[in-house]
Amino acid sequence: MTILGLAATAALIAGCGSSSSAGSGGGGSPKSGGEPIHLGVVASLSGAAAPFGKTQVQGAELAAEEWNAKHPDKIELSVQDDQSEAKGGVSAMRKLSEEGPDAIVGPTSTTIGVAIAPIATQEQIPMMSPSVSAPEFVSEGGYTFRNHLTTPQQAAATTEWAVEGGIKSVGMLMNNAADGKAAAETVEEIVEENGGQITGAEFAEPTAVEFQSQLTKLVAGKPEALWVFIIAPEAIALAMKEARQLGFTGRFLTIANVETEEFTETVGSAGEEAVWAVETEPEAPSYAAFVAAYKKKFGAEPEFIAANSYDATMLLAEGITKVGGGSALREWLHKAHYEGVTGPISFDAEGDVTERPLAIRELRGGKFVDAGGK
Amino acid sequence: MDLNTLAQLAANGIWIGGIYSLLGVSWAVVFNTTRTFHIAHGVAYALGGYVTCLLVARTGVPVELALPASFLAGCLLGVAFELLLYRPLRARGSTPMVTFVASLGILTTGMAVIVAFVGPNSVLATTPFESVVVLGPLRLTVLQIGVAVLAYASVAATLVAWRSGWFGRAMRATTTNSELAGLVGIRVSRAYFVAMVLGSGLGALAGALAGLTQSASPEMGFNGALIAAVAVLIGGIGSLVGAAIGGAVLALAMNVGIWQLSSEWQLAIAFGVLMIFMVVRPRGILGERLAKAEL
Repeated sequence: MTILGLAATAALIAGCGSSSSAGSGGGGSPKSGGEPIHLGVVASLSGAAAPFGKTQVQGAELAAEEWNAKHPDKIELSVQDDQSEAKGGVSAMRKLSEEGPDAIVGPTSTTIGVAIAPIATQEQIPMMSPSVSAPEFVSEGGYTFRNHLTTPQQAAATTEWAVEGGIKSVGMLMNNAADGKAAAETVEEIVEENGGQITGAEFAEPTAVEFQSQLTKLVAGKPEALWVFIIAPEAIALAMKEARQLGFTGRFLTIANVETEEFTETVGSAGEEAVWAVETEPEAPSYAAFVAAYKKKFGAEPEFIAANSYDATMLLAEGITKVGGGSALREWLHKAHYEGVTGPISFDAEGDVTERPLAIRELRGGKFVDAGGK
Repeated sequence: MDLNTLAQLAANGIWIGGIYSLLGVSWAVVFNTTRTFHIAHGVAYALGGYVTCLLVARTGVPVELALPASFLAGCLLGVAFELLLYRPLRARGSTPMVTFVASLGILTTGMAVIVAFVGPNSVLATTPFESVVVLGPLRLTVLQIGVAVLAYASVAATLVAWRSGWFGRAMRATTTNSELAGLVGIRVSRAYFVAMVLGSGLGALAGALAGLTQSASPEMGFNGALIAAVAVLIGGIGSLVGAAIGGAVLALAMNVGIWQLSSEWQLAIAFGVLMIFMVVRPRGILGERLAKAEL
C-alpha cells in the first residue's frame, strides 16, 4: 500500500539532440583478410552501475585479445561510457553512429538499454546486451539482441515446472512494472495452454511494503500455487508470511532473488517448498578456459556479465567476418547457432536468447536444494 | 469475490487504520499547533520503524522495550527538528514556503542518512506473536490485533490529553490563535516545542507498529509523510479527532476499495478520496469552516 509512487516516478529524459548522423549502419559486405572489425562498446563505466560496466568491458577486451591472436581481421573496440544514465547512453550512441561500427556490445543497464534500443534500430547497427533485463529491450524488427535470460523468461521455466508437476490453478502477486507485467502474461499463457486457470492477478507497486489486501483477494481464489514476483527478497518473505497467515497452504513460485541467507531467516517456515529458477554455471569445457584466462588477465573471478560480454563479442566478430555489419549481420544473428563459453546461443524472432542452462531450486528445511526436473 | 473476502479486507483496513490514525494524529499535533507543513515527519515515522525492527531483529530486544525506545527516539528527533530547524527558521520570519522546502530537504536527507547506516534493504522483525487467530471468516495474527489495540489506545490517550488540564488548554489555545495565546500568558514557543516533541514521538510509535507488522524500509519516509498529510486533510485541518478519523477512513477506503477493483488502484483510491474531499468538502470531516481550501 505504498502511497508513494508519484515521487518514485523517475522521468528518464533521453537527451534528444541533433540528428546529423548519416544513418549508415556499417558496411554490408564480408571482411576479407586484414580489414578491421569495428565494435562499439556501450558500458556504464561511471555512476551506479560502474562495477557491472567494468566487467562487461573486460569480457569484451579478453575476447578481442584472443580473437586478434588467431584471426587476420582484427577487432577494434571503441568503448563509450554511458555514466549509468539514459542521457549518457544516447550521447554514446550518437558518437558511435558517427564512427559507424559494424556492431555494438552493450549496454550494461536496463534503463539505458530501453532508451537506446530504438537508436540502434534506426541506425541499423546490431547491438547485443550481456545484461539488460527489461523485456522491451528487444522487439520484432529491431536490431537489438540479448544473450542473457530475463526474469520473465526464468519465470516461464518455473511455471512450466509447476504445471508439469500437476498444478492447475495459479494466483499471481506481481511487481507493477514492465518485468512483472511481462511475467504475468507469460505465466497466464503457460497455465492456460495446459488447461489450468489463473485464479487472480494482483500487482504491487515496486516500493510496496505490505500486501495484506492483495493477498486476501488472491487467497480467496483458492489457488494451488501462488506466484510471488516481487523484486526485494525481504518483500517476498513478507508476502509469503502474510499469505500463510491468510490461510494459503499451497506452493509458492518465485524468483532467484530469494537465494540469500537473510531470506531464509526472515521467511521461516512460511517459505517451505517455494520454487524458483536460476541460471546454472555453464558446463562447457571452454568456460573453464575462459575463467582461467580472465583470472590471469584481470585477477578476479568473472561475473556472468563478463562471460556474456565475451560471448557477444566473439559471436559478433564471427558474424562480421562472414557477412559484414548492418542488416546482413542482423539476418545472420537470427539464424545463428553458436557455441559460446556460456553454452549454446541462438535467438528468437525478437532477439532474445532462446535457451540457457537453468535449474529449478526449492527451499526445503531452510536450505536451497535442486527441485529436480529441467 | 465473496462477502468473506470483503470482511477480511475490512479487517485489514481496520487494523492498518490504527497505524494510519495514530500517524495522522501525530502529524496533526505538530501541524495544528505550529502550522508548519512538517513533511519531515516521515523521518520520525521511518526512524520509529527502523529502531524497533533493528532492535527486535538484530539484538533480540523484546517488543515491549523496543516500542518505548522508538517513541523516545522520535521525541529526541522532535527536539532536534524544533531547536535546529524550525525555531531558527521562525526567528528569521521564514515564509511557509521556505519552511516547507527546508522540511522537504530534511525528509530527503534524513532518509539518506538512515539508508547510509542501515542499507537500502528493508528490515523485517520476527516476533513471538505471529500465531493466527481465526474469527469466523477472519484471519488475523495476534500481532496485528495487538498493534491495532495499541494504536487506537494511543490515539485515544492523545485525544484525552488534548481535552484536559493545563496542557490541553495551552495547546488548544495555541492551535486556535497563537498570538492571542501569547498575550494571555501562554508560552507559545514552549507549546511549539512540546507539540514537535510529542508529535514526533507519536509518529515514531506509529512507524514502530508499522515496522513490526510490515517492515522498516526506505520508502517509509515519503509514505509516512503522505499518509499523515492525506489523513489530516481528509479529517479536517485543526481537528485532532478529525485526523484520527481521517487516518482510519483512508486505510479502510484503500483496503475495502479494492474488493471489486484491481489492487493497482489502491493509490488512486487514496488520492481519489482526498480529491473528493478537496472539491466537495474542503474543510474535511471535522475541520474548521474555510472560505476556500487553504493551509
